[in-house]
Amino acid sequence: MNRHAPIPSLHPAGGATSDADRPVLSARSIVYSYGNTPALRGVSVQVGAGEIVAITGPSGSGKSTLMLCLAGVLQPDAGDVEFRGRLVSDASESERSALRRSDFGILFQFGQLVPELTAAENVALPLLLSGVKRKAAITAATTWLDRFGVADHAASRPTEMSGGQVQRAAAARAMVTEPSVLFADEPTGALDALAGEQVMSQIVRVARESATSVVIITHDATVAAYGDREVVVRDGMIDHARDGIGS
Amino acid sequence: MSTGHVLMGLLAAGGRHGYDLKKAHDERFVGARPLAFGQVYATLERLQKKGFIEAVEIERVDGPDRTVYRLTDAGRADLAAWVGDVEPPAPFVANPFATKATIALLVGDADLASRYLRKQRAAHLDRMREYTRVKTDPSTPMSEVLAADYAIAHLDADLRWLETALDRITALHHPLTTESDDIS
Amino acid sequence: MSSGTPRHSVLLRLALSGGRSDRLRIALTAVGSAATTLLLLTAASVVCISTGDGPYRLAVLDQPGLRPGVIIALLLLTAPLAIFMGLCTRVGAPARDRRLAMFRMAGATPAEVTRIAALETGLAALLGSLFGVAAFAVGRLLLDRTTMGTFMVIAADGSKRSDIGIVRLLPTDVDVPFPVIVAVAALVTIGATVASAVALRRVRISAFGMTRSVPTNPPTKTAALLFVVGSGGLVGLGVVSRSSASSLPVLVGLSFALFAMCVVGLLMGSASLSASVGRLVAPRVSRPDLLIAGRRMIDAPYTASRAAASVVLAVLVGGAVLGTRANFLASQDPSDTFYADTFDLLSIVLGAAIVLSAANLVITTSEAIVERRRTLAALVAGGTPRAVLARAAIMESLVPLVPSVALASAAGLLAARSFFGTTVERLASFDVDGGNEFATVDVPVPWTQLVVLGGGAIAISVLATTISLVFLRASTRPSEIRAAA
Repeated sequence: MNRHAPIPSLHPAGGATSDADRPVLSARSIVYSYGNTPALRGVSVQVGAGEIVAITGPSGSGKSTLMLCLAGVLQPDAGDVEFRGRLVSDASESERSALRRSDFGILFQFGQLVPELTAAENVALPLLLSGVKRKAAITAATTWLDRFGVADHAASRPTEMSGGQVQRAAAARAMVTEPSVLFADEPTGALDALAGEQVMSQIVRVARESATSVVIITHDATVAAYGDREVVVRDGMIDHARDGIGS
Repeated sequence: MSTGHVLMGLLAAGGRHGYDLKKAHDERFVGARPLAFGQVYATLERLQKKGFIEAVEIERVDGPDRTVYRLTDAGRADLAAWVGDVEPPAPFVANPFATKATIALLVGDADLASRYLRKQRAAHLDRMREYTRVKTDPSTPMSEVLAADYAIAHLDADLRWLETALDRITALHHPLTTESDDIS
Repeated sequence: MSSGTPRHSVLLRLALSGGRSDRLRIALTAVGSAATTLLLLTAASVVCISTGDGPYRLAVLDQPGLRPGVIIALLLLTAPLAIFMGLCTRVGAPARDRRLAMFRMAGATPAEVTRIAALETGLAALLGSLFGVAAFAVGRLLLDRTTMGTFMVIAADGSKRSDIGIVRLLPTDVDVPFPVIVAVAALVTIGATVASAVALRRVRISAFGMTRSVPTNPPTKTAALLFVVGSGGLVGLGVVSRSSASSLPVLVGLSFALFAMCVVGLLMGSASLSASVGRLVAPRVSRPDLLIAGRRMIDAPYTASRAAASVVLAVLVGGAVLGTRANFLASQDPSDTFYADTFDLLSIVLGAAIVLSAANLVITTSEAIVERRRTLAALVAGGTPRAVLARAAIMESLVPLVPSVALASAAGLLAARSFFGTTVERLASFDVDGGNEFATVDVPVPWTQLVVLGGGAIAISVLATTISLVFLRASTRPSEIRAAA
């Protein structure tokens, strides 16, 4: 029995096609230290196509570091990170930057929108960076804002929006390039329960519609419950609590 | 929880008979323990004695006779008073997980207790995931969303406790035993 | 605490309890006050030159009539330094504001919090000016050199003649009286302390943080009006002064007033120019760096223009000096180097002013980067190349600077040309009988020097902004994403 296989009924692909079985993103025995303090001590994780994985763990467990390594922001000291057969962990800074821009979307807790830009311009930014013309980029951005229910605020500055609206605009920015993997680091950490629920359910809905894999980093079980599967990080290692759970 | 007040609350919208009340209760309070017919009829009798409800007619469809009850003014006043009253916070909290973890420490060691708590945590999260799916489904009616919210909040409270208990046990003893690192 | 007012030792300890950015601010304040002290003491030693001192190689030092010009130039140089020290109070401002708010939360009164902040500046300034005095003393010893050169000798009957002999490079032989040194050090320290207290008056320190009153729309019409009236007036005044005989003091007073209008207009205008350029650019461009720079220019027009102001001021004065220099050189025999020497000295002073202004630019740009590090770090994590953010920062400071510099140098030059005229009479032949012949010569426009001045100012500003980009790498580390604002 493969106890870690995603729950079949939740898989958007439905069938067990060979493509869906192959992980989009995988980490093998990655190690990362901040100076002499080890944050990750040999972690292996796989993320399937369209799968929503919640990485949880107490604060300081290394879950954010794991996400930054998976997303190619940090380079692990040892071990590999592979995205669609490409070795991310060996790529140069500019290659990884380009990969993050085109294939990954990243959503943080707060403070990621440029306060001087309008919501639409913020969402359009990744497209402008890849050379899309302004008009087309803004049109696409408005469409994405609409998918997250904040099209009304296209011309607003982040300071003129509520926390939940800002997070939804940030999610639109993370999704505008139609990435393969969306990383969300404590996406509801600064929101109240209902605003957080709205952000999470919209992220999950949009991700399912576009078959995007999602990696959620959270210490909050109610947020982790949006995932298809949970990976618990404790003390820089994966906690295999599910061993022996009947399912 | 006073069953009498719940039934009176269901009668507030208009007269109903016992069978109807049981059905209305079970539909509205998803996740609550379903009412037994005997309990419904005993409660109605008690309420009638107190003068909070009165029988208005006997309905007969293709089955047994069914007495339709209605809320009296006294009942309405009592119901209003009950709604306004504060429920006392539970003096004793059932804590089967704490009990089990304590026994695990007694019969085994910290490892056994920790293994139990971690499995319990995973099981709780599985349950929470189901409620979350119900809650975020746009077709779910409000009553079920509220019930799911309630269940999630309670599971979350358990999960927080489980997390703290794990921290306590692992902090007092040694770090986790490592197992094979494959997870897929 | 037993008494109603805290002891000074307590305030002192609180004043010095800051973090890394606080230490940077203290260090920069000290550097600024050291430089100001050095400059003022140099001016003082020029003031103190008496008959027994000298002779000096430079005519402007050697001839008593020219010394006020040197003194004024040195005092003018303290203006960018004052701006520098004013900007220092902004370094690490968010962190300091939070620290001061914490003091308020802990029960300090607003006056006490202001005193803590002022005490910090005061101590840094005192330390700096003591360093300045020491540097002055050491410099006097190290730079005391003599060479052979020509100098002017005034005979007992008042007639002048040139002589050749041993001359000093700088007035290192002048004794500046001790009370003057103390007065200068005290002036710098007190000035900096008072300035920081005044700067904090605009900041309402509450227990819940700070609210800064920032004017949202920089004045455009007033600025343009001041500049147009000022520069137009200068041109007109020049024409009038040459055609009719007016009294000199009135003329000088008027021209100073008009020049001041020009300066104020330009300084106010650089912020509104920044906002207008931003409004023109931001809604149209497809380039992400220009988009960010443009939106920043609209939202924070004062950030860049505050530091650019002193660059613009220096260029305005520089334009006037170049115009005047062209005029004087045209009227003089090319072999005579008297004016050329003097103007060279003036150019050095102006160059120093521009470099100082650029240092101000380093502070504002790096502060703007460090302040926004969480957003920048998140952008970089999301795949925005650092180069894009670097270009945005450079554009933000430079796009408004280019038109300001062009306007300033043109206005300065025009003022000089209209004041001194576009033609001069030059001595064509010399006759012993006194029948000297003069020829009318056109004053050339000093295009090359103007380009060097404007281009140099912009190049130095680019360099300054680039230097401040060293903060970009550290500010965009992933660990900054979760940093407090």
